[in-house]
Amino acid sequence: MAATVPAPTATAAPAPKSLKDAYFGEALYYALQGQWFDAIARLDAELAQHHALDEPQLDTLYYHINQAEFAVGDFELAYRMHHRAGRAIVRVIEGNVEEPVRNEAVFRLARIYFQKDQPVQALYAVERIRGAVPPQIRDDLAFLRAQILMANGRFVEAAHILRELQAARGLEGFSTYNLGIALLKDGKEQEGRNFLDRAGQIGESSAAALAIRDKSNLVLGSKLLEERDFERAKQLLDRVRLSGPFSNRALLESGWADAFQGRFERALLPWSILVDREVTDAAVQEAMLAVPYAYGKLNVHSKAALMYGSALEKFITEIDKLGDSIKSIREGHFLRALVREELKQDANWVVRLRNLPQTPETYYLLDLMAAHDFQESLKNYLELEELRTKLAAWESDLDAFEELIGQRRAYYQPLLPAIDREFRRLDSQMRLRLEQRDRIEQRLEAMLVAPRPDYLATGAERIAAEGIARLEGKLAAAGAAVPGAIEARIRRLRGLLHWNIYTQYDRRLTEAHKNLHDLNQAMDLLKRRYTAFVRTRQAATQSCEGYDDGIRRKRILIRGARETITELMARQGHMLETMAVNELSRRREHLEEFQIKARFALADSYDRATRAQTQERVGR
Amino acid sequence: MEDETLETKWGAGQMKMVDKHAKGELMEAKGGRGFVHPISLILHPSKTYGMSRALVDFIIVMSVLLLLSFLAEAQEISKEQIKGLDEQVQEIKSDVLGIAAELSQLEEKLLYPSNTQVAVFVALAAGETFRLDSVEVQLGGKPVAHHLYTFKELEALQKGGVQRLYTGNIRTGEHDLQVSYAGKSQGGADLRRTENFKVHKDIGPRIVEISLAAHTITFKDR
Repeated sequence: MAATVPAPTATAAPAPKSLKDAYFGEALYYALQGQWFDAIARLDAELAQHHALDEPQLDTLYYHINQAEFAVGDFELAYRMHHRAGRAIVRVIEGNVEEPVRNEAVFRLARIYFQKDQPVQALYAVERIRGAVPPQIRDDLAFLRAQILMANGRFVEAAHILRELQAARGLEGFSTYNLGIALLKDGKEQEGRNFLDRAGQIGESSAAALAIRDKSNLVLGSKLLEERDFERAKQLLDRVRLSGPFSNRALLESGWADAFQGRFERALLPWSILVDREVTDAAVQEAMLAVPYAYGKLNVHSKAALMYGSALEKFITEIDKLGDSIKSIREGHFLRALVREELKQDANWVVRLRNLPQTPETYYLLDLMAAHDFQESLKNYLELEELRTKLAAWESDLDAFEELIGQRRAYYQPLLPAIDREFRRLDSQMRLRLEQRDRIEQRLEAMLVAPRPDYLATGAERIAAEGIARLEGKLAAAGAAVPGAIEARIRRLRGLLHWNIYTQYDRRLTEAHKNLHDLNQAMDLLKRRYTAFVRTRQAATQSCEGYDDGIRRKRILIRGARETITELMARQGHMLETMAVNELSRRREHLEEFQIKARFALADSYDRATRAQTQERVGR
Repeated sequence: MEDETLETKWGAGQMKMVDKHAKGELMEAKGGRGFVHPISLILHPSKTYGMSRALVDFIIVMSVLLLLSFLAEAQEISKEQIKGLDEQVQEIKSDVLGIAAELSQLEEKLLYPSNTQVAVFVALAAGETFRLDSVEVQLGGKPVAHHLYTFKELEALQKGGVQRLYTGNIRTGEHDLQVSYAGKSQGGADLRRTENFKVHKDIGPRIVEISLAAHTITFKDR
């Protein structure tokens, strides 16, 4: 019986309506393209920077911090780092957050446990949800809860929840199908069938809804066929689309539903459609025997013999192809094909893989590739290959960085001693000028309290005053009495100087303040240039000094990671190859059985055809 | 006995529902009643139809040998093995993310120090549905970035992602930034637009956010 079917889930968190942090937006840009590694790397860096701030409320990420914390968990989950995603979500739960935020975090944690096949832990997590739940996750939470209950064998409770979800948008078909399964598991056979029947008739047209509709019809149809209710089984199997993923199986079983009732002509209709399809499909291979069998039953033994012969040839070809495929896998072609660059550009790459030369193995691996374990292993292998490429690129980046640093060092080292000398000279001059300015400022401030007009004498006035003082000195040194006229002239001159200095003091003081203001502006410019120079000088040193240890450390880390990845890729690759070889061997074994049966049937049909012809001749 | 072995193998190869069919086959073969998988009847090896018994024996023995050889080469992979390896892959992913973080810090310090760093981010205005084909950025009259959009990138922008189109270095002071885009409207008409902006660079890193709409380009710097 089919297990529960999860509803399709969103892969990347939606962007906030009003985005304030460009770096968060950048992480979303990568996430929305499915580039999870880059998305996580960028968001991690942004979150680390935010948490290191003294005042995070001034940071633009502050507006989106809850969403960013969730987003990083989502990205890690999408990148299948369940441990880290779980830890990120637990941090949110344990943080000081509101009830709806906490409940959403618990919901995500439960989903991780469920996806990792840990239903008991998932149930424990989901039972911690109390109080308000954000409306946008209400239905998804209920659906998850029902799935978890089913995984824990609690079908009655699961059915109760799923009944409430029958009208939930986005879960159409999924809730009905799972309800049907839950009821069947609970022993409510008829009711369960009714819901499966209902899921098989949903009117939705999305790809997921159509697939669940087909699956419901196939599951119920197969069940009825098992119970030999052929008429109803056929009705349900004929509801399955001819182009869907379940169509081959449905066509095969639809044919059997007729054949079991002896209606071989009708059985030929679905089988004839099926027999022309891809020969590697197991249902098609079975139909290749079923069609001649039906012809045999209709007494058309010659045609049956021809068709058995044709089937036999095809089986032989396919067995050879499978043998080649197993050999090809063992020679490493399969793994090489998986990591081909052009495949990564195509969402439908699994199908395209089949068309590549040198990869015959993939013809038979579609079913295997759809299996969860293989998918997870394959994704691991591809992601390891991606990491290997990144690490190789980073190693050459480090080479480039070292070369860059070397060139910078070679450029700066001869220049810096002369620049530093000149800087020291200019620095001492600048300090002197700054001290002078400070003295002037102090004096001017003092003059506001105690006026000193002499401080504001012009140069000419000072020279004149000194000339007068020199004359007075000479006259005094001569010892003779100074003529009155000369003394009067000297006094007049001194008086004139004094007059000018004292009467113009206010104007001069104002001018001095104005000049000081101009000087301040010049000093500010000087300081800015000084700071810019110091910064540039520091940048020059920082551009080429102090990197060696860091780069050496990173080289060691990269080398260690590369070694680990090489080992893990070998192990993961071997695991994939083993899975593929096992699958192909199983299919080969199956075909070999078909081959034996086709040989017997061929002989039988020839025998019968010959006997019929003989009887016909005898009759004639 | 050999006949029954073959019957069971055939039944086991069918889909799940055939488990019961196989039982039916045996019932039919033994008692002539019950559910029968018709194809098994035509292949019933008790009816050799003229083939020699030796040939039948040979075929059966070869089938068994093939089966045994398959079992010998098949290595079953347990859930624990898959899980154990998966955990190691998760660990190495975490380690490589750590290296990526250190490298991006080194790159920023070495190539785009904060005193000269300028970054240009591009987003689509909310609700815009026009098809963006390309964006070109000129800084100080020189083209510094040109990007052609893939469908995936455009979809990411339309869903609210922000693309860092350019990271570079400029001196402190004022710089001319010119942004041009080309695209198509929903109706298929060509859309082209160019706008200019002054970037004021000071000591810290400068971020310029550009929002593109069908008829306008808006700038914001911080």
